[in-house]
Amino acid sequence: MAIILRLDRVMADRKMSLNELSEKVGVSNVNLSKLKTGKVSAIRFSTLNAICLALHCQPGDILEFVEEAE
Amino acid sequence: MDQKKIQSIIQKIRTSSLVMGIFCLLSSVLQAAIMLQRPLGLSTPATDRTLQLAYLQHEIAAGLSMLILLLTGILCLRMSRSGRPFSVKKSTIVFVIAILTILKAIIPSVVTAMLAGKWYVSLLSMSASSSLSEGLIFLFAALIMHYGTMLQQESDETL
Repeated sequence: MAIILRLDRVMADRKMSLNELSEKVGVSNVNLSKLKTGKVSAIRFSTLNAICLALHCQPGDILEFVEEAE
Repeated sequence: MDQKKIQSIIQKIRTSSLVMGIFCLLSSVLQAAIMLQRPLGLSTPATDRTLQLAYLQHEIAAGLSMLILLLTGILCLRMSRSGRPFSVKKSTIVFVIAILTILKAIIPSVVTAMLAGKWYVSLLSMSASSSLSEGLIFLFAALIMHYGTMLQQESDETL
């Protein structure tokens, strides 16, 4: 997919562990791990809102568009 | 979406499908018992040719009904265990039920007509049978369930 999640990068910048983020966002470790590895097909605005709130960042910091050759 | 409302609906699905599942499995066992009772000679076998054909038609339909009830019971019990009506296996079961219901309308009439040598009777009884329309309704439901399965998959992959 052309949209890549950069959650690991933002988490490393904020020095926040997966467990800590999981507690703050209210999403399980397993699901956050799926988000990190890009194994999800969509993300809810409510989840994105909670992540941005916990990491004090913008959605654009987490999501990145990479053009792919067809 | 309101999680409490979702949980309440799932609980209702679980309870009602458990009741339906037990009812269908018991009906299936009862149907099998009735079918087994006849060859054992506990009920009077028909001697007249027309009666024999009607009896055969009824027996084939009863056998297929038993299978349909058994599959419906399995489907309902699966639903009560998971609380989720949409999955690939469940939509396949509904599709099989649809095919069996259509066969229930076709096979008994065709077999009887073949033995009696009257094709118009077969056509008449097939078109008069409600199983044909029931089967088509089930086929439609299987399509809806297939679409529901795709939506469920999409929802599961959304965080």
